[in-house]
Amino acid sequence: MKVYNIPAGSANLSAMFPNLDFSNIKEYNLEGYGESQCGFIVNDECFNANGEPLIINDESEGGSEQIFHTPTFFVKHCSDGVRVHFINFLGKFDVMQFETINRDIATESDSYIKYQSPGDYDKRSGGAGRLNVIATTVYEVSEPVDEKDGNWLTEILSSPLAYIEWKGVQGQPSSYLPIIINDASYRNRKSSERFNYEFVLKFTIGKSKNTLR
Amino acid sequence: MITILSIPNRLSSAYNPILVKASVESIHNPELHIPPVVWCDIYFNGVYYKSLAERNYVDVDNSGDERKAIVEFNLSNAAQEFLKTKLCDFGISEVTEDKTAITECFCKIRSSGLEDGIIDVEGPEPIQATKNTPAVEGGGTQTNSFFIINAALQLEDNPNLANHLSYFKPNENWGENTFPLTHRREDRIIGTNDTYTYPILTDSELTCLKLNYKDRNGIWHQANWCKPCQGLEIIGITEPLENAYIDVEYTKEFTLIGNKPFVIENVDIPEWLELELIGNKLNLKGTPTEESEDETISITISNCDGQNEETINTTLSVLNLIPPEIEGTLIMQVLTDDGSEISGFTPLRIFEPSLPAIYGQDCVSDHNGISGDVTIGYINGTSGNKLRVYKNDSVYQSYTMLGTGSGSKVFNMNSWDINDIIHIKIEAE
Repeated sequence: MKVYNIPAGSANLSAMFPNLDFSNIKEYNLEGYGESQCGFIVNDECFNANGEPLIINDESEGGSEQIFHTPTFFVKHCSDGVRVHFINFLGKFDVMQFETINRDIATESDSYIKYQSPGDYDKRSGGAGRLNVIATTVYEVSEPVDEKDGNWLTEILSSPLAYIEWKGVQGQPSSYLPIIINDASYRNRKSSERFNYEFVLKFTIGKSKNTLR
Repeated sequence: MITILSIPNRLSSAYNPILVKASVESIHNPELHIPPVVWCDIYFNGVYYKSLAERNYVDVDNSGDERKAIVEFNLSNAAQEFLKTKLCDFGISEVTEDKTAITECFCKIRSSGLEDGIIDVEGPEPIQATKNTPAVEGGGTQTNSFFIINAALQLEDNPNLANHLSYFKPNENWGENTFPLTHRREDRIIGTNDTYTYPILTDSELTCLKLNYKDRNGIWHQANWCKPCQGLEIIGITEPLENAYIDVEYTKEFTLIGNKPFVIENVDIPEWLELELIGNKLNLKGTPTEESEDETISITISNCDGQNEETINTTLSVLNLIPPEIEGTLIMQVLTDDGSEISGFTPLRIFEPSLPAIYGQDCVSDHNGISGDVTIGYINGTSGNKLRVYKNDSVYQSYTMLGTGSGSKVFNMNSWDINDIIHIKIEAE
């Protein structure tokens, strides 16, 4: 058996099908086909892997077997959401898109008291100083979900490794940034208003800002 | 004697128990002792990875003449070490196979015994790969193969991973043995420049993708992508082919490597031969009735819409001879590469040659004479070299020569049958 990664994002498919303009596409899905069921052709007659004659109709893609059909991908134009890629319980990266975003810069630091010699009246020196400054970017994102999503949302909350998509700036290509998902709880069944669920995820960018000493 | 009692499902998850259970006898005095240690050598993708040793057995079977230890190994930790999760490159534009998320696995169970109070290990022992040297396969009784993926099933999940995954196919247009590696069946939202790869597990060779897309006017379109066509290679061509014999069924197998379908044309073969097409094999079968010399065998094969073309172009002779009769006998080929010679196979009766046998000789014996232990003797041996018995090209048992000159070793031959090909080898390593 084999594990395949099927390019399914708009960035992936734009590169795979260069003539496509995703700004003009509303939705799409992908079908995958395996090897031809037709193993041999002798005198224009097709035979399958067991050597039995095979009749190919127009819908069977030349004898190829359809092996998968993805869900539908709805293209959201002008989206500036945050996309979180996380390891799911099946060992592969899954993705969830959040449209409601709050972003904070959080800092932590230590302080010290500078020594000042008696009789030193330099107004610029002395007093407390700041050191070991750690500045991090903290996100709180949320997305409306259904009650039936509760099971797989467990996977994002308990994922040990996650990234967000980062659109390249200053001439750099787009990439991923590592994130640390904060410990949290999510109520996936309520006693009232069961039609209305909001999934909130808090995470910190894995690399803190480089600060000067 | 080792019997595999159970192995995991054909598809297992690394973060759940992966149990191999076997019944194992001691290699010495099994009527008195159970083996002091039993090993499970784990092979991932056909390469030795590591061994698990077990001294605490789940049960001991004293019901027969020989005592048997019932031993169980859990391969879960080794699979978790071996398998990895890999993030695809941003915006990757080709179908990629993730070989780190899945592995094909089998185990070889090896026993041991007590010899003068010292543990004697069933060999040969496998050797792990290093940075500079490949792994070396060892002996033992091999289980069937199964697949492990880097997954964790939960308490509520169906413990049969394939059944579990079947419930997460988002629609009915999926192959029986193709599964999504995500629990999200629902449709997704995606931006115009976002990256994502949809993970699938399949036993098929993915060859083509079809993109169905709807434009802003609500009209559906399609775009196709297919893997580049592989070349064509034919394995098994010799010039001439192995002789056929009158009134004896003849079979010649050719293996075709490349993209299907293979187009067969310009077939020029003797009338008594027929083409048989199975899987990726092209077989010639038939029974000749008269003698002939250098008959033409010519078949043209092409694939990828004629991009690649190869021709089987050879000859075949039919002889009026009786082929060597091997039914009812066991042939053991002696392959000694250090100048030593095999001196005896007690209690087997050797028809030919007269012993001692030297390098390359076939020893033909009465097959029915095999039961229980067989003592294989050698002369002119070198201390430290290995006397090994291979069954169908795999090491069956191995023995390290303790002294220079002549010696002998008892080998258990209970599980050999007429179809097995046995090699006796003396090797330096």
